[in-house]
Amino acid sequence: MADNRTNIKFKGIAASEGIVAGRAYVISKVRLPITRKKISPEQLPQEMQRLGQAIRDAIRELEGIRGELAAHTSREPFSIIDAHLLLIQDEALWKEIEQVIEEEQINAEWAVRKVVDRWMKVFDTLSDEYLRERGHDVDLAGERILAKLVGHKEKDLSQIQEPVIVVAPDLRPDQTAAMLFSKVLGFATDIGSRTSHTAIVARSLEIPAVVGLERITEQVEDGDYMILDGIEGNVIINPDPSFCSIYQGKKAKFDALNKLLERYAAPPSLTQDQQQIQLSANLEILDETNFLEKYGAEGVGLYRTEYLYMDRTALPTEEEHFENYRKLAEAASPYEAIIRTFDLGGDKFASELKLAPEMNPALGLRAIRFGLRSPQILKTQIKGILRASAFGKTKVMFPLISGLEEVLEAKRILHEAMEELDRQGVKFDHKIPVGIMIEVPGAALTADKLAEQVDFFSIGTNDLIQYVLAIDRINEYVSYLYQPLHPAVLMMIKRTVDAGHNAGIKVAMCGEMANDPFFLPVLVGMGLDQLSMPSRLIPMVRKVLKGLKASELGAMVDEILRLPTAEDVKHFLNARIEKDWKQAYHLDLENIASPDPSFSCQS
Amino acid sequence: MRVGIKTHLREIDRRVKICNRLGMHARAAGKLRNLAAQFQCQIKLVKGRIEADAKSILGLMALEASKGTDLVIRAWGEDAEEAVQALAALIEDRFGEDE
Repeated sequence: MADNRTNIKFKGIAASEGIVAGRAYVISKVRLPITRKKISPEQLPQEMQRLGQAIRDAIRELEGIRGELAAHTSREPFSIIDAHLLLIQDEALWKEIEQVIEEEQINAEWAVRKVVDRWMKVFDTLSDEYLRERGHDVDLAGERILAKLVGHKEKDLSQIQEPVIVVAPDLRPDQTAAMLFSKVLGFATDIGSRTSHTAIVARSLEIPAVVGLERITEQVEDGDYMILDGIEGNVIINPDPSFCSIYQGKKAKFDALNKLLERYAAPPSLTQDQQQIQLSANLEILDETNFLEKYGAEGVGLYRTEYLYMDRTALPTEEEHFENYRKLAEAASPYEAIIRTFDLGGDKFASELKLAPEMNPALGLRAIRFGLRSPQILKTQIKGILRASAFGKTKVMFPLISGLEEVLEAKRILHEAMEELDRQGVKFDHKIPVGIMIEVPGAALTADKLAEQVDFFSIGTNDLIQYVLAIDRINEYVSYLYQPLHPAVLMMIKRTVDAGHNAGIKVAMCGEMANDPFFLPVLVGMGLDQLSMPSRLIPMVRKVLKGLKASELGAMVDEILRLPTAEDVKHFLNARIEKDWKQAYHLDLENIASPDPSFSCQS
Repeated sequence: MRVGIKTHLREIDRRVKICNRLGMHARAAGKLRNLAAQFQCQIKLVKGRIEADAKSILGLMALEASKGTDLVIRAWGEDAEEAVQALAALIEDRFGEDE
């Protein structure tokens, strides 16, 4: 490349693992350029006819998208499509547009824009945040009509024939859904976080993605060659050959690792001395069940249900919950699926709550606290879970429990849900196991009391560590204090496992600590029965587990618990890896690595 | 945006209170609009000094009628009486929602 558009680097948030290279496919979000044209009275009928045709075409297009989504995706992200359909089908809106055409004697395009802008202004002034955002829907609905009027074709993502990397400001649910069936190598977006819609979908499809790149759509042109590194969150536009070969090497290593781990993709998960630990999957969306078998997941240890509540205008119904969980339970079979009730704050729900922004959201009204405050929302979800339990082994789990009262109250709501289903004659598992997350220090310290009331524990280390050490991981100045091996954290985990086992119940761990092989000897030594993690990480943990002797780890944990700092524990473990577990941790990549021919360093 | 021309026909008024938990969100507004569209008469929903055409989904949403909001349904025309009754019933039935 002769110009200076070589090696342009962007740093974003790594949202979905993997390295890819390919041509950019840019979707820009700018309003269509519209001009104002006077029309004569004779042209009026023709203009009205154009408008009517455009509206009918737009409606047909939306109905088509809705049908396709219903046929292909397990979730029902219809609400956004439905909202747009409602708007486009609004005769009052058509009449307003027609009125502008007639009164001002102007073209339909200009009239559409004018009416849309007028309504957007109205919505801008609303105080209700949910309704205010509907102004955006009005804009999108208007753009859809305008696209028909001017004959503009939005890039149809389902028709992508060449392998490309999609670059966009953000992706709408219907756009990501369209890509389920196309040749998309990766995503790069301006906005978004690890938990945004695009990131979740990318992970569930195992397509590499980098989000939060801020201004990438402005700098990339259609057809630019680019490298996308979803491991570290880097994007390079028009890489020169030397840069390209560096990434080629990285990719080769990543691919080799995956190939090596294929050998550990089947259950059971045993230590060297044949002790079995259940390695299960953490799922964010239903589509991820496609990968349970690929990695040999022994059931679903954590099904996060937050996604069901995202990007929609109304709460999911009992029927939607049920349909979703039934598919989950069937996919997890013969293993069980643990479904966690929503871990969301009130802000994610109805607009009528009008909750003030919280100073400390992590300590505020969320998860089970919100569920107990709005028992109807929780009960609707629980009924869906119960009904799914007739179709496969299902367990229910409550998040963020801090004390016994919450457990009793949550169980009371569960029993109400059971009674209501019984009255309706609906089948479900009356003995559905009920568990709780242990992620609040108060719960860990009173685990013996809680264990009498539940059938299992699952330790959520991400929150537990934050709460025990009083640190906000997101804050870069204190994130160094996030120490899974801090003696206080280890004591909490040990106490929880012991309390559970004394009461005869199983103890699982589903936080990030469970998927880092470095911590595995400690967790096995403490006696955890189950470790749950993103599916693709299971083979690595299974491999290391195979090289450990469970019988000698209990004594090691006693020794570790006497060490004064996280740093000491780390040194201790590193020394043991060097001395005793070299084989367990060794990854023999050299004999596998081979460069991927599709990753060509062209420019 | 008042476009209605009152005819000689009697104007029907009725007070209602929004009682579903979510208030008049998009889906509820859609239901109300669809019902209103089945009548010939002109129908307004009035909240204090603001009024909205019951046949316009945007107007309905822009009313910001959350739970507990008092509204007046106002209609004039041939079938005004029936229209007001039907709309009031829908609102009082929480738009057919569970809560």
